[in-house]
Amino acid sequence: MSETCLDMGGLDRVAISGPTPQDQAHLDVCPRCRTRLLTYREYLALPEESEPEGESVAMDRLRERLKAEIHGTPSSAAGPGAKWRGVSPEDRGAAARSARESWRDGLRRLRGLRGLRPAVGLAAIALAGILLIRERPAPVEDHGVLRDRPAGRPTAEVVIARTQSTPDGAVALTWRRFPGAEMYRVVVFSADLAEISRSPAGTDTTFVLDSSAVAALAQGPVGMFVEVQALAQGDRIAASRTMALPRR
Amino acid sequence: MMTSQSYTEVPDEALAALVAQDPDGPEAGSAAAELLGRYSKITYRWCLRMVGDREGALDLAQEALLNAYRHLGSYRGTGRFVSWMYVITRNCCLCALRRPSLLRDDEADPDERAGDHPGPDQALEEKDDEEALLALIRTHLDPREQEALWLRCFEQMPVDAITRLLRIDDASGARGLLQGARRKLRRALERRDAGNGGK
Repeated sequence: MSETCLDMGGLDRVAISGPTPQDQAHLDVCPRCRTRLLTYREYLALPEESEPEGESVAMDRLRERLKAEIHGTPSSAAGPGAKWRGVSPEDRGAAARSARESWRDGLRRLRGLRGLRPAVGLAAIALAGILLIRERPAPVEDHGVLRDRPAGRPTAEVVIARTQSTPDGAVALTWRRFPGAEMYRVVVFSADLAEISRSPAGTDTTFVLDSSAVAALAQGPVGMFVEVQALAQGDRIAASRTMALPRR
Repeated sequence: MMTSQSYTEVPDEALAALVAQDPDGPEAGSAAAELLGRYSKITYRWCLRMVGDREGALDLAQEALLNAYRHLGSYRGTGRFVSWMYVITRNCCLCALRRPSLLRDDEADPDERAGDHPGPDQALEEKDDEEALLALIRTHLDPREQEALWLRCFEQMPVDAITRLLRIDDASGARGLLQGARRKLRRALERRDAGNGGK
């Protein structure tokens, strides 16, 4: 993406108010922004379109599944053979294939963050090289995060018990063991939830993000986010909430 | 405490902020359900447009909505919530769909088989260099062809959806436009490589 390309906020502004002369001059020469604007306008217009066949049934199922996940209750509409399993759907289909992609492959998803590519590339190399996954003997400190899960919370969630920044800028994540999980991994996302990279899976419940990796990942304008994923037989069975990576 | 009924008048951005502020709070679940419920239809319709079958669209929409739910804390409130949901839904679809090749496309060119035209395009595509592809498209295609090819290859939109989106009236729809655009690109690459002495 060039410096003059419209970001999502710019596309939204143009979609609502129309392009300024500068926007228009750019749109005239940039097929990427033209098509992104076209598709975004198409998305915004979808609610006005006539209802596709079978949509009301699909909506009932979708809302039921959504409610079940949010409130942590079994979904009556899911029915036999339904793919909903009360855990994050990312353990299925294409997303599951994506989840098996390597740490290095994750970096290819940076097309939209071209300006950050060198920094994140450096961070990934640093992570791959300096990654320290180890069990810490010290007791996990509860900063009000580690507590019993309320009834209304999703059932399949890895609870991050502690994030601690060290004086040298490293960040240590510690999480509670998740029932049934054999291994864990930490995944780094950009602000638009594109996966940037992931750690190798390991059995330990602490992950130390080296200071150089933290600095490289957090220096961009959009910030980075991490989540801990629990795995069983190679499939993801649960994940933590996504947390913003602390900026130095 | 607000009741779920009272959420109906609350703007999307305020509901998202409510969930993000206190994800374990008593109102978070209901607020999230209301917020994401509002986006069920648009998300499903977008996914249906992208994958073309109802079951696939349902699964993909579910994935997008749950992705949004799980990442509500990363919504910063700097833009409209609808644009944030669009990014998530779009990313979900792009992850699930196979990206068509710039120069060969089974859906748009059923007569072209992969391997029929091994050549200079492969190196370019393997590098996955969007800027280089953009420059190539800008130089050699007219605006209509640029849009059709970009929609197909980078937005991964089905051919019939491109036909509708670009309001193409002729019988072959976007298929003809895409075939023509690919032919031009292939010729341009062949000329470029001939000029480079086949390097």
